[in-house]
Amino acid sequence: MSGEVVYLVFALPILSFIIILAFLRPLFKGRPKVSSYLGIALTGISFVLSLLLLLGVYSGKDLAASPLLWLNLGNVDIKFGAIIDGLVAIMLVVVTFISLLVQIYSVGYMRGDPAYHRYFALVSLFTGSMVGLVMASNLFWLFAFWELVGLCSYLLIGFWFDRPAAANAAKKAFIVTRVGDFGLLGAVILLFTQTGTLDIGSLHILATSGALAGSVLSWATIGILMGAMGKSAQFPLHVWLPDAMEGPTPVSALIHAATMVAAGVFLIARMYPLFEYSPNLKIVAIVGGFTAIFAATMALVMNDIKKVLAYSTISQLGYMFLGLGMGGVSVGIFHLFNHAFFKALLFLGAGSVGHATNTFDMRQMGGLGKKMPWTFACFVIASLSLAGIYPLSGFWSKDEIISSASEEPVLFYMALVTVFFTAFYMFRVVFMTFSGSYRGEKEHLHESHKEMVIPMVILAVLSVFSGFFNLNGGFAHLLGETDVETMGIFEVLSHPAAIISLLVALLGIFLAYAVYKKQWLSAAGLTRVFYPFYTLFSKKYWIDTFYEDILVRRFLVNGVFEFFSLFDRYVIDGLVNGAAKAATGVFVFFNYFDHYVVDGLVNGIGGAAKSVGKSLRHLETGQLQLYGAFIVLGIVVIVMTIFIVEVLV
Amino acid sequence: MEIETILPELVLAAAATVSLFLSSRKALWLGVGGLTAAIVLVTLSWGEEISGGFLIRDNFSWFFNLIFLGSALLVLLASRLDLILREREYPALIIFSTIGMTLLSSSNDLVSIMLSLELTSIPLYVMAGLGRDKKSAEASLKYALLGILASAVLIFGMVFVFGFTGETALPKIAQAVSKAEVNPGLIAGLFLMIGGFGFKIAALPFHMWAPDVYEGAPTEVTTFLSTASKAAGLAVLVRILSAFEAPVWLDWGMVLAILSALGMTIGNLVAIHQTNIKRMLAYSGIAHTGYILIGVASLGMDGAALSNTIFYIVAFALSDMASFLSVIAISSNIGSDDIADYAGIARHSPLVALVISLGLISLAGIPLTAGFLAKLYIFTGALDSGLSWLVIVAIINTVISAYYYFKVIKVMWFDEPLKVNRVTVSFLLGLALLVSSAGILVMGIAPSLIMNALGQISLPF
Repeated sequence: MSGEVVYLVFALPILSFIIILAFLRPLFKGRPKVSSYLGIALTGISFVLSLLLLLGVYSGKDLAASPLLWLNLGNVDIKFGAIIDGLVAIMLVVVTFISLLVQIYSVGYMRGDPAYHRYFALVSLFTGSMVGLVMASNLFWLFAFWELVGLCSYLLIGFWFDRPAAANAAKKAFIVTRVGDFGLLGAVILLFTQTGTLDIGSLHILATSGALAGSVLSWATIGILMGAMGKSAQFPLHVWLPDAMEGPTPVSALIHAATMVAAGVFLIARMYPLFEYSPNLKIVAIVGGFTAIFAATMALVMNDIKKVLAYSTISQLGYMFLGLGMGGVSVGIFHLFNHAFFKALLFLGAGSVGHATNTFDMRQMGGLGKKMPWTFACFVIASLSLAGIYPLSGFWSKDEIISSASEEPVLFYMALVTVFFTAFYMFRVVFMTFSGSYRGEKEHLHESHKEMVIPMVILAVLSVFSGFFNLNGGFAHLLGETDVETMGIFEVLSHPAAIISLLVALLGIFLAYAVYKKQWLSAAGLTRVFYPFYTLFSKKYWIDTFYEDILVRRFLVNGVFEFFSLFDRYVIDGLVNGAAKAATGVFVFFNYFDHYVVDGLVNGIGGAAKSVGKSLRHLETGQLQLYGAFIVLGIVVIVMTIFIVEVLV
Repeated sequence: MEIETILPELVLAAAATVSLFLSSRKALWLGVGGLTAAIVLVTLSWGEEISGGFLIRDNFSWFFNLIFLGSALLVLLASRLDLILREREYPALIIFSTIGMTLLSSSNDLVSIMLSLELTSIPLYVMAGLGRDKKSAEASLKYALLGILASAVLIFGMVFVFGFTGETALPKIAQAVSKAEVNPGLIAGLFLMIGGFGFKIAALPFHMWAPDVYEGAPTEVTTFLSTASKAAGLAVLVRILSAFEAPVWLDWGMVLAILSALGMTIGNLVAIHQTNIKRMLAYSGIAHTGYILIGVASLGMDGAALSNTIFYIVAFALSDMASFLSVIAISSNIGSDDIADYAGIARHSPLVALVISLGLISLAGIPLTAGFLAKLYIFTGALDSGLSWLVIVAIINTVISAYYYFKVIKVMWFDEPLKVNRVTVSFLLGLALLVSSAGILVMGIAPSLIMNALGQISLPF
């Protein structure tokens, strides 16, 4: 097998997108399932090929893919090429695999939706773009696909665009991530102008050899970090992700939990040598550590199951940033890998519950454990894994992050408190949703279709076992790290950080059990005691309000834009009007002059001049004169400026 | 001068003259035939260089000729039947104006530049009034009066240049200018001419006619104005500027850079407030003139600036063409140019909505469209020329502009439909839409196709 296979991994989902949109959507109106079968088949092949690539990389084969020349920019060739290494292979497997399962799940979830074709077309386009982003050997392509996955996210969040909330959420996601992309674009341009290359491999060499250093490297990494923070919803650009839950739930699982939002983490891992040689690695850790605990606090009080999961995703992405900043590539990416499975599973579980009850409000749920045993079992496994309970997958990667953070006491304690919050809010969800008695109004609740249950079961198995991949440092070796601490499956329990975090997580679960299952403590009472905090968390720290009301509405719309509009209306128009007024004054003056002086002298000529003055005054009221005056004024200003600058000075 | 120097123009002139004596439909087809024949002739002449007297036909002029002829052909195909039936002279007017443009981009002398500029403009003044309503008449009058003022300014500038160099032929002017010492007369002459052409291309501060005329004129004519006419003004501006390249004391690059920054910023900020789509596109066009002027400003400093600028002109022409042609289709069906009335168009007419969205996305400069690469090329070129402050202004502007482009897209795709008029598109208009949107995508995905041709263009002095 040669490395060029990677182009096939990319091309197949794109092909699926084109076929669905161009042929299946117009021709198979009555049989929407054709689209899903095509999408599943082509993504399935992509997944198998990715798996083969991963095995190839693991066995140490040299799998270079020769690039294709795309365009030439000055002296620089931009090539469409692919990197194949451990990082890429792992990401490809995660992306194609989750996409495959999500598409299978969607066959059941999206059944009967009028825009079924469009849904599968977009999911295919997203999968292809995400593969393109991951494999790109060149920052130019990476950025292009970065934008394309953003576009897919926008279109899928707004998938049910007849709901205003969905349309607004799509817009919000697009605009907020654009702020980060602005930084990334700046970094790309900066790197290109300073080094003349955008090839990622060359940039790595330049950074490690010290040729790329100092303020350039520092600013470039800041720009890259901004892009990553936008995409991965890190504070203060986190506000779009909870709103993005307006999209279909399988999309939330694929894009807003497992893959696209992790692209920020991937980007930092991809450009890691640049960060290592710049002073900014610590900033990555601080951003991550803060976002982790910050988002977790809001997850504590949400009543919408998907919102809890969304804040949880932000928080876990923060962990990954923390891992990257403190530990290294393998620490961050390992958590990304495990998180992809259990978080996708949690979303699919939430989708399954929502599908049955027609709501995502947990206050309208309860007692679903008996009605939906498969969903219940899978959800509990995923929650345990997320909470970091031994020996499930979340435990392993979270433990690595926390022990790597132990060098910085503040970050370490923040991470530990986050573990407590995480365990508490996840089991709050579990108990509110699955135990007790049903509080909603829908009758005849039943387990979801098998095409929804099977992907969940597969993910549940992985949520248990995916942590074992790094048991003997195998995962880290795959990412090219050699000096890793190896931990056996049992000896890890002698590790102090592991024991502490495990105890903290168990405490969180116990508290949730006490409040929401046994009701030894009343939830309302807790709310009353912690009322200021409750308000702060449930109002999302007023950050959304601040952005929407103060920053956008007051400052931008009513401030800056209004200013320019007024500026245009009063100052520029005023100048022109003033000029015209002055001209009128001159005319009037001549008119009077004419009337009394010239008229007195030469009556006949005076009469003619008067009529000219009169007609000029009439013309002055039309806009046309202003425009003409402006043209002449413009030229005069330009010529005078040049005279002053070039000739006189 | 050999007769084949102006063979395409002769064919066009014959077609236009004969079409005046035919019925409307026949006139249309004769016009389409004449334009197609001219396109073939021009394409066959690619690579030849003929120079004689007032005219020079080199790759620069051949390429621009293709832009004008292509735009004229697309506009003619896309024109509403009732307009053509009512105004029999319409095809002839378009073609006469196009002849003016092809000659303008091939002119090598101030005299022929002035003459062909008038030949370009006078039919446009008439065409702006073909809407036969109050707004259209106002547009026509405004355009004509201000156009005449601009011509006067231009001639004034030419007189200065002639007076201080004693020449009207551009190569000789270039020689004289390169030897000249600091000379206020030449400065005044050049900037008066820039002012005159600035009017033609709607560059700030000579832009104020554009929104009114774009709004009032029939949309077909607006399309032609914003694509072919603007490209013609830019072509001749570039040719004249290249004759003034040598003297260091004549820093027109910086002036154009400042005009560019002003144009982008004011154009984009005012566009945000527009409720009429044609006015919005007019301000967007003013902003895009600003982006193009970035390339023009770096002409003297960066070897690739010429091809970057032309690439941008083509990309802008295609994107604006796609947007305006869709406006023709939509507005003639719903009877309104208000953006608010576009609500939910995508629900019942997704294809037209897709084309206009593509056009707007390309204008906004999103990857995989022509507009993105055009911006990328021009920005990187400007960075090489040391205009980094201008690139920063341009990038901020690009972000701002995305807001109002996407606002239209949002209205069309996400808002509740107000009326349920399905947008019907005639076959020919559909063809024009297809060609322009295919062009956007092809340029956005495989730019080397066009970049290779642009690499063969150079200016003689």
